[in-house]
Amino acid sequence: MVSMTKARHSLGLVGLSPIECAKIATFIESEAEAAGCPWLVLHSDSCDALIVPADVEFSADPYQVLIRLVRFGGTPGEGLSITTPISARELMDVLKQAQELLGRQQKPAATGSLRVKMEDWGGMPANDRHDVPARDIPAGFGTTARHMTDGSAALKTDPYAVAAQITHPHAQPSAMATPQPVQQMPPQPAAHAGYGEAGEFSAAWDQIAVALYSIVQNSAPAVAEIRVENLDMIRIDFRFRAYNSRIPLEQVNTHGHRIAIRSTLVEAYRPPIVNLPGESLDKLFWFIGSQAFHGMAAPWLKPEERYRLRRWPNFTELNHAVADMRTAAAIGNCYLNAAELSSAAGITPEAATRTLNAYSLMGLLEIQANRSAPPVVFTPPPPEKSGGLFSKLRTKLGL
Amino acid sequence: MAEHVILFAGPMGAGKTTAIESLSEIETIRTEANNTDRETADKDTTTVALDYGEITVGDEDKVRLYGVPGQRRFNFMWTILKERAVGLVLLVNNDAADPIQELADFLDEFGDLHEKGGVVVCVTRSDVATSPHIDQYAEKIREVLPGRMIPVFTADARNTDQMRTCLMSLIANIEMTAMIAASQERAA
Repeated sequence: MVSMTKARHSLGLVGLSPIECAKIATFIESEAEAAGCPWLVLHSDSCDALIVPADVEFSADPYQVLIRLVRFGGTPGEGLSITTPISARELMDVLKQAQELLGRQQKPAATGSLRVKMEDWGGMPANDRHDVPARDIPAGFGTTARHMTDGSAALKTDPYAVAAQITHPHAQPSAMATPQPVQQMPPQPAAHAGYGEAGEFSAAWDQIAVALYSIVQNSAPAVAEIRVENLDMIRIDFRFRAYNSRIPLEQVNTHGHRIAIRSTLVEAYRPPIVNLPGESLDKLFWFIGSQAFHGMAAPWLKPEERYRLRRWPNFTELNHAVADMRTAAAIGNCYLNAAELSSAAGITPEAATRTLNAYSLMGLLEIQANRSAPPVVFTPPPPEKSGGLFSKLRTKLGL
Repeated sequence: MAEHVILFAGPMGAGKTTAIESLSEIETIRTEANNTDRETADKDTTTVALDYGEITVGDEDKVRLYGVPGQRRFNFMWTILKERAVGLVLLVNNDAADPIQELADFLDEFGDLHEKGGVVVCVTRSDVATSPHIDQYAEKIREVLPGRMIPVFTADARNTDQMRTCLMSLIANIEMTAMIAASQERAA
């Protein structure tokens, strides 16, 4: 077993200057883990805790802890605050207090600890850097990321165990491929790449997915690199919705137990970092989105909301199962939540959730505006004697 | 035996004949003549009547695949074939002068097939011309047929797997649309 890490809470930096963001990120990178304050830093106002300048009018949601940044000449108000110049010690102290407050809060059962919302991301910078994990990084893996000074944010995490040598020869990156039951001894092949023993490996991908979602929602020109241990890196250029990788996606779980992502803002005129046309980013998002979150809803999806496809996924370039087509047909024609999608497409609730996660990461979903609209109740017609044309063709073509 | 007629339409050079050849389990019947319009599509021959292929499914079903000529002067054929069709595979070559407008024109002509059954759009030659992106096709479809969800895929008409994906998606969409309509009818 090797040690893996994961963030416990998310920290949003709102309205801060790039230098302030960089300082906070650097301090968290170098100090937070040792201080017992693991945080995932995002440029979002929907995180568990937020650092917002004291002179900016801002109201946090009840579940959030607000930390005010008091600049020179400002007066600290009530509640948590830090002052400029920002010191590592003061930041760690206040984050510890925030952590305690969050620990005391009663969280809604249906939501996870990471919160990222879909709206109001327009002006936020996209310089996110997330290292997953931060411990036991061997020479040659992720070490450069620890010294980057690009003003980016970083993830620090707490100890997390994962099996080291699991192979997944039958990895099938389709949302329809239901993960195999957890096998402790001996390790068994899992249907999902990224779904390891006890599902731990997916935890690293959860945070990669959150980071990618954050970057995409920012809509800023950005590039990113995902480093997978012992493998070449995956290069992403969001401007061209393309990526390059010499790693077959199915192999990332076979070899990679430590993953790091680094993203940087780039000027629009800079040359691409991928060899164009490259692979479609949808392919990578489909893979990651359907593997992450252990079959639970992504943190930015809300159980009370219904979704519909804006366009079909481009299945000719995705590794898909035939059942994915029925699922797309269902959610392409009406607004559905995961349970309704499961019923309409005849798939498990977990498969429906994985599909929604993937579609949302790919940016294919729109949310039903009228939340009080009655749901579509599916009452499948009596089955034909030998099934519909779809089933018959499926059998005929051996799909 | 139940017959299911699927049309393959689109501008000249989009790959209709090739797509039918990729799917058909019989030797495709082709009606081609020398191409005199090299400016629109640089190929030796073009379909002047129709192409035909088929897939037999057991003893009960036959899927008939008809490729209609792309030039508008043959549109009398379109009307005849549309009446029998339950679905449409609309192929548009991405390297055309204005592929989005081509899409709009053909949807204008064949869009009513979506009400009868379903439509799927296959964007071919996207390896030759990388833009427009399929998002732009989807956007145009929303503009021309608001409220309708038509699958859009990039595809190589020579690739049997990809053409099967297009065909299966079309049929899945047709069946699902019918199921939703029936459910709503029963609920009303």
